[in-house]
Amino acid sequence: MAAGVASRLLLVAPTPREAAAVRTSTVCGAGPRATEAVDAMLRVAPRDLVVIAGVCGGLDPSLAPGSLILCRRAVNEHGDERIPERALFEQARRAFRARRLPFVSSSLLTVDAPVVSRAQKTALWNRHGAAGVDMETWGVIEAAAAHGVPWLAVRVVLDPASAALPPSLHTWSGEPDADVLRRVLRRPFEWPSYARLALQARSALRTLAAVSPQLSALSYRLEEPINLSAVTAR
Amino acid sequence: MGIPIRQAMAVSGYLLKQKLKGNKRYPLVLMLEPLYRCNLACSGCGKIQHPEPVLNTYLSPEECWAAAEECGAPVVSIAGGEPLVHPQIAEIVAGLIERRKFVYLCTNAILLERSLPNLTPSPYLTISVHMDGLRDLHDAMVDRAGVFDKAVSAIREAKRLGFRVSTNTTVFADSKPEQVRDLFNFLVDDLDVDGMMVSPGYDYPKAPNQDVFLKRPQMIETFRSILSFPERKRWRFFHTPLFLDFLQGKQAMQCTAWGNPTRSVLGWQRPCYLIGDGYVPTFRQLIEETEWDRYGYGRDARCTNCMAHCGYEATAVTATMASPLEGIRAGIGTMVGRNA
Repeated sequence: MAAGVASRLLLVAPTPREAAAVRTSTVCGAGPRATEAVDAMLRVAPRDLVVIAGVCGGLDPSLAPGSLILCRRAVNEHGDERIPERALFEQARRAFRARRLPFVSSSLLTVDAPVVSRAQKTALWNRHGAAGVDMETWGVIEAAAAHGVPWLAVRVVLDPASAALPPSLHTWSGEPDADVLRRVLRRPFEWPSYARLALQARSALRTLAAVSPQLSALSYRLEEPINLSAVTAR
Repeated sequence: MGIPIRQAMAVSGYLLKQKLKGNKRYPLVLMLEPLYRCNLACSGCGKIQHPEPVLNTYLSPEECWAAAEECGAPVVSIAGGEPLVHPQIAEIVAGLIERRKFVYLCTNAILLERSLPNLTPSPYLTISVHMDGLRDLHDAMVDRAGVFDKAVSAIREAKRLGFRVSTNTTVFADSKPEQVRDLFNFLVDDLDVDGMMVSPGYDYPKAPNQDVFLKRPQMIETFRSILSFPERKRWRFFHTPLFLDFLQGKQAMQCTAWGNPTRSVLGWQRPCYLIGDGYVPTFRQLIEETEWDRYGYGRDARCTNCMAHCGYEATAVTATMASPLEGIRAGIGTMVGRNA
């Protein structure tokens, strides 16, 4: 990647619904499959910048559903961390501020399985200090880094730190909505939880949609040289 | 007795008023630092490393009262520096009480016995004495022999004269849970203090000894040990139960930096009592121009190992007000004088 204006942006989202919100057609899949998907995409068509956008579980208890998180540090369960390229990060920050989008810049934690209970969320918050938790960011970043491509991650809180996920989502690994719906219909006692989650999802997707123009514009605004040495692993 | 009912009611009323007004950010405790000058040089302190001209600058009583009125917080904690070094401290305290502020006069107690005749006991005044351990540990932490004995003597005298006395304990890496337990037992059983405050030390970059600070996971472990001793039932804390849960890692919280705004001789300190990213001349500027979302655990590296009550007690108080169950739990604690 040379210094100058980046023009080839790969904007990915884990699910079709998140992709629709950020107005991209590139769905990388949920969970570990996102890594392979992004790796394959970068092999087929080299890019200058990878951005992952989607929803996440909230760990920072001050963040309500729909809160926007700009990743300043990505971390996995083992404590490995990666930092986005500074110029990109600052540019996104400036763009969000210019649009008066409320956001926090914080850490994002990637885990292998859904984080479902309040106790789990509290423990992860205490341990990692990450504002949000998801199942793809780290993998997508790894794939981008393997290709020498700078990255940026943006997440919006779906379920806040104070909320547990419905039990039938505890084993969720990115199945289509129809499969989830079938499971939910068999468990009427979970319907209130799903109703709440649906409202939270609406709020989260609305925020994703609001930030979408800023994300798409990133690739065309990059005017500073990208310093890949800033992308580090512990 | 835990947090006095009068104070609990006043703070609850104040919070309710803020909610009704729709205020998003409002102060709970004004951290007033009328001077940075201190008569000790504790190993974990990052407040006294200012140049001489700053150390020689004191806020006037009028400036202190104006700060209290400008910010409007119902509670004022006078810190420093050592407030009792200030020649007009009694006047400052009296003026704040006149304005119906609940005053916590923080002190290392070296000058306390000498200052007591100038102060008047009041339900609005609590003398908060810094106590980090029993004799050996405390004197080591403040780096001077004899301070513990002076503090104990001053607490006894203050109690005899009818003052409300609380203590403020900072837990450092050197503090063993058993030592903290012994200290709390001593403070409650022998000195009969009205309440205790406890907080992990903040890793001030300027502090002379960086080895004394705990990292966040250690803090949680240490507080779990301290608060699981059976004697805990007797300890009277000036904290909400939620804050004590937070210290033990049972409750997730984000810092409320604007809850305890700091007015020092340099101005209104941005963003909080522990981090100094500059000063502004007015409280309004502090609240309106500070990028609050940039600060907090996970957001700023300097907040990584901070679990101090000046950042998180305001969060706990707000959460307590928002939850009927927590409200009842805190209310019971206030009524029976212990934390549920």
